[in-house]
Amino acid sequence: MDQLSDEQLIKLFQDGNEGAYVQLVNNYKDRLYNFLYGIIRDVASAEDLAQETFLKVFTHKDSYKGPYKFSTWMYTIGKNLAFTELRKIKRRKTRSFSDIEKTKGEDWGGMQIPDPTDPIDDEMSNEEKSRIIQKGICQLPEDFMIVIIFRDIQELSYEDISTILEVPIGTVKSRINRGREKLRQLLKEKGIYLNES
Amino acid sequence: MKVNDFDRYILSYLDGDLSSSEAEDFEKIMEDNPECKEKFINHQNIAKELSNIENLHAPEGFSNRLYTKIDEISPGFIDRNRLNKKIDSLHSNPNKSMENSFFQYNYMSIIRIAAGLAIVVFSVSIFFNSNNMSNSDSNRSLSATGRINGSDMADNSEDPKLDSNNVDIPLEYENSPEGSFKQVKHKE
Repeated sequence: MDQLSDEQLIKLFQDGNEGAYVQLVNNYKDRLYNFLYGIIRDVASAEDLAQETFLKVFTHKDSYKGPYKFSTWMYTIGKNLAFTELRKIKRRKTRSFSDIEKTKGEDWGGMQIPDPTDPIDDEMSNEEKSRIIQKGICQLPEDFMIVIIFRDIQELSYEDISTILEVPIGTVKSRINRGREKLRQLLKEKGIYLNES
Repeated sequence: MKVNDFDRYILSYLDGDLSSSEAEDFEKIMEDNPECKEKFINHQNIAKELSNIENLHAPEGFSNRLYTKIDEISPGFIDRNRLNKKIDSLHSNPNKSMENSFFQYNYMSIIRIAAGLAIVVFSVSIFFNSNNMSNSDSNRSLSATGRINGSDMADNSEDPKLDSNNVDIPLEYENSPEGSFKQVKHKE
């Protein structure tokens, strides 16, 4: 199946080939789940959203038309579902660092807040480090959060991000710049340093 | 490159998209401006940490739960017993699958073309058969009477083969391969 591109697989699926759809699911389930979890920060919700995305791919397969990449189309569906869900969550409760943050030594959404004088370094496990940074990412404004997730976690090209978000590439780069800086400042305000000079 | 443009070029420098002269200008600005250098290093650090974030995997059973939902929408579309065989066949002969898809996709077009050709062939065969029949009828009348049956050939005056001087000689006409009539003389 590695021999077939995503665009060939979706074409086969549009022609009724179930195996092609299954292969697309296998190819993207981890990446899609990872992407959605980065936004929604909840395991069950991220799975629901990922499944809903694949269901929409299934029921609306004929909506996909080239020359856009299949992944661009799929991520667009997932992004829209995630943001809809995110807005529902935010309407239900306010999510912010101040709501969740506790003083040093107490839980911070399930994590222990590190000593602010100790920077995040190699001694901290990668898992811990990832959780802290992902927590910071989901606190960013939506525009910054989504480009950081797309570029730095999903490793999409500027062109693909521009297509999904329907903004110019220059805007994508500007948001990434500002998003990274905002994230750094956010973590710093909460006493989390990133081996800064 | 000016100091005010520094922020715009951080990403491009990190991505390696600057030309050598632009990269030199960028590095020069960093050397001359400690604030810019600090900004760059901070940016570089966060980018590095972001790139090292561990990627998560979809929870166990994700696919099965998805296919259960698909069964509700389209029962039997995904036959899990045949699932592995289908994927294996795509693995082993993706070109054949693409060919099958090609013929499946163009099936109706092929049918239409074949139907059109059948109509044309049928029409041509009818045309030639009718010509043969009318030619046979003419042949019978000539053989019997040596004359031209006026009902078959209303005007034979211009036909060089139908020379009135030859009307007493038994004549038979047969279709030549070229599709025209030729005179076949019998021995008297």
